[in-house]
Amino acid sequence: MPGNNELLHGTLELLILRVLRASALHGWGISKHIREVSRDTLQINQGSLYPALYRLERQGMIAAEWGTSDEGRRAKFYTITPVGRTQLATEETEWRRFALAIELVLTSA
Amino acid sequence: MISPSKRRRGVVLSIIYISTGIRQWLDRRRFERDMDDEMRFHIDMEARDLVSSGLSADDARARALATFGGQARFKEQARLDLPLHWLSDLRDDLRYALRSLRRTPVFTAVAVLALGIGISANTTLFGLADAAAFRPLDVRDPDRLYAVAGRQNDGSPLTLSYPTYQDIRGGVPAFADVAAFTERMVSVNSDGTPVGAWGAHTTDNYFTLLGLRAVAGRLTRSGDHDTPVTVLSHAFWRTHFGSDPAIVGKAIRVNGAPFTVIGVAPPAFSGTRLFTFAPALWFPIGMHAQTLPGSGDLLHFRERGRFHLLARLGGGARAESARQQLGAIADQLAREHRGAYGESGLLLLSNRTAINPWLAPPERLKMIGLLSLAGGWLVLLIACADVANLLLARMTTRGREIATRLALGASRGRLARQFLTESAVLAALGAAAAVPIAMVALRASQGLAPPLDFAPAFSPVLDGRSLAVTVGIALASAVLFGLAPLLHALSPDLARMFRGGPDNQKPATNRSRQVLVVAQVATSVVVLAVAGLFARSLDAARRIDVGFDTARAIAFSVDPSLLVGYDQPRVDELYRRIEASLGELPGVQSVARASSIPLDGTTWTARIFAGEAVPTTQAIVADCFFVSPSYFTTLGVAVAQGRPFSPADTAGMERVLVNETLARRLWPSGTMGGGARVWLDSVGGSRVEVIGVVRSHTSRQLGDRPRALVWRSLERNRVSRTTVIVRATGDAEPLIPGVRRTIQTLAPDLAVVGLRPLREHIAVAYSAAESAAIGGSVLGVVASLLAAAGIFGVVAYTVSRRAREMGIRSALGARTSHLVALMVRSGLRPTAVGILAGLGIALAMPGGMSAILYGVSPRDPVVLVGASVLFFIVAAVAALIPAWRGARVDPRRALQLD
Repeated sequence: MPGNNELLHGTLELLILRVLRASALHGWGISKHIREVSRDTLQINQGSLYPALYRLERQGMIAAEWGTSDEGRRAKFYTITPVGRTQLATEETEWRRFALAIELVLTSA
Repeated sequence: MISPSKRRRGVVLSIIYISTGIRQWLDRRRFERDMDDEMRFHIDMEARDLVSSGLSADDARARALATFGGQARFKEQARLDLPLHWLSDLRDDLRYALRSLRRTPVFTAVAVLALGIGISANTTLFGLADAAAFRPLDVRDPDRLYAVAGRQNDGSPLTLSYPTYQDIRGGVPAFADVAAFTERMVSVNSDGTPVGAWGAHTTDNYFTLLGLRAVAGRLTRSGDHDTPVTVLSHAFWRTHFGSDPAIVGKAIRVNGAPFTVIGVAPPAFSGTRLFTFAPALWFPIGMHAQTLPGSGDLLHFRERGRFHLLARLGGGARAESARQQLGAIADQLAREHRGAYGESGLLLLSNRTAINPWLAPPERLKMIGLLSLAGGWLVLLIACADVANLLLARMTTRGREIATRLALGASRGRLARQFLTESAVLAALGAAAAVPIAMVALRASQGLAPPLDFAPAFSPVLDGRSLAVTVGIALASAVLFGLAPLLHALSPDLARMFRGGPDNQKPATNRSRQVLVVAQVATSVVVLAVAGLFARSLDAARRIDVGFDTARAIAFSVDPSLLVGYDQPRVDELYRRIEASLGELPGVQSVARASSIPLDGTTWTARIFAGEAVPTTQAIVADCFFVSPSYFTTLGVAVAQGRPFSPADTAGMERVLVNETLARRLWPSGTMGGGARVWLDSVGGSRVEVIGVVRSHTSRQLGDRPRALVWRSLERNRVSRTTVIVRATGDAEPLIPGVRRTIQTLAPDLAVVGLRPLREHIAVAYSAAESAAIGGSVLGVVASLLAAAGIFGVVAYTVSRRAREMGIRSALGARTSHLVALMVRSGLRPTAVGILAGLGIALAMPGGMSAILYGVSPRDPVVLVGASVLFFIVAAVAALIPAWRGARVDPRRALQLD
């Protein structure tokens, strides 16, 4: 994994929640989705992804359930909880404000 | 500002977090399985994706695996994220520690033994020091309790009179209340057999002031001042009344007068003063005519200062204001009662603990207590050093294991915790071993006290306090001895450990290890030698001629003046009848009485001056015995010159006998002549005639040089409590029941105290020598065992360091015995140095030693050689065990270590 796309601390959680807002997904699906949407810019290290999932689950932001994947295999699906939705809204706002601030600084110079 | 709704949300989130955490932890096995499944799924999907982009199945799989990264590693990461993961880690650590300790049973046994000794020494010493100096009285607010005493000119405390007590009770507003008490033996008769018991005679506010509650019935309270009631101590209730609750309301006879038992005091309460007897009964002071007969009116005379005062500081009052108010009272008393009032001021002493303020300042006793605790810490330190050495030795052989675990991804922190757990387990085992040792030691320490007529108010027990200290000490020791191996394990030289080869430790550390062993060995040899000297001294003391015939005789003491209604003529009459009746018992040869008998722990003294008209010598202080005429023949004391007392000596000038030691000092020229006269007590005091000289014998302690002794007539100098000696024609012990019955017939309420063979009476004279011998032996064993553990550690360390060398030697054909000898030498070299040093110290021991030894020289060769040989054997065993185990290691395995 290239060093230039290290995620900012706490951003991974935001991305996971955002991905899950649309539909329930398994871990691999989440990682693939992020990779594809970001056009391969963001590659999630599995060593971070799963601990983050467990952490979010423990925080009550997401819930996990075993189900069957599109390929017909047993897989663990994660869904966002109401608590997670509220959190996502807060963090999204925060992130946009942050990104805007960075943008402002970069364009000012 | 955090809004309430946000805070509420925070609370909800934490609850979810914790509950999920607990659920996950409880369900952690499934959690692990789920993780595995999930990862497998992930890798499979990734591989499938790669295959569809054109890779071969095998390549795709390999690539997927590689992308995923170390599964084990991130599973560990996820596991660490579990909120309660440390709980399962702890369990794993414990299991691992136990397994690894079980793998090395000899090491574990030696370490646990050393720790058990070190910790139990602390538990025992704490138990003793706590009981003696620190444990607060088990009463309400002991912090606010004070003792008040008169102040003598030299600053020492003095008991006070009842009127003074009343002045203080009414004149010190800083005190919430003040109680007074005095103590003396009473004769208690509940079932026809009177027993002597220690009685406390208190004001009726005593128990209320202490804030105590009765276990059964009630305690004395305001209004009981002059009612014939008594409160039993819990111990007396148990031993004399079988803990019968129905005793409340029953009548017993005290000194012949009827009293009603109203209640039982709580078990933890044995009076407010240590180092005296524990009261068995409490009486209201208004009944003192019955409970303290012969003491006159105690309540109305200022010169009869017999009372100990116990005061409770009022809420909010300060000790300083109480002291000032006491000062004012003292000044007023000094003005108003000049002469009748001997005190110079009043003392306010802390009475928070049962430390007897009359014996020594509590501060000094606390200091002594602290010093003995420090002694315990020293023992623990040595034990910890031993165990640290052992752990280091073991660590060397475990280098590979440590390195492997580090390489497999265990963090150093995790390893550190692992080693700490191991140390903690060892310390816990040590503490578990220490508790029974301490229990035995504490019980034995009470057995070391000389035989007394009443139970002392000193009860060292293994209670919650000492157990808490044991746990604390064990934890502290775990840190102490666990530190060295911990630092070793965390040293960055991973590669070296992985090789598992000999670590080239700086010789300095090894030398310090050897110095420690040398010091331990030297100490052990000295302590063993001292123990040996005490033992031989005791043996010699037991075999010496005490100067009188201790066989075929029994003795007991009585005090008829205790009985209500026994004035002097009646006491005299009772004594006459006792002597006559006992003399008529079959099997009795003769009966005598004395104020005390030699070597029984009681001594009176007298001052004697030689000279005719005026004294020609300085005062000679002599031990004094008041005896009946038949004393010398009954006890079998030889009168060397002159004659013993005769019944005719009751008239005319008082006559005395002296022993040879006193005679030599009175008449250094050697001629005493007939009708020699001396002054007794003071110049111009009693003029007495010396009628005989008695062969010198020891009188106080066995092994003493004979002291100056004088015998005076009991008929002419009455002593209320006397010892009666009964000499039998044959075996004396069968006479005991008959003697008891005879006394009971003559005086049904008179307690017979200490009725036992004469030999046992003088046992008190051996007790110091016995305590020294036993205490010395215990210390010797402790020191030797610790030193042995040290030697074991040194040899074990050598063995572990030179394992490879031994393997090579063995492979090259060296004999096992040769290898053992090689390694044993590493332990025996410091042993030899230590023994020599110990012998040097023992030989250089100050001449003061000979003063406390009897019949044996402090340089007794048998003892010195014996101690050295004994210790050498211990050391050899301690060195042989690890050496033998080391030498037997399969050379192939030893070589593989490289």
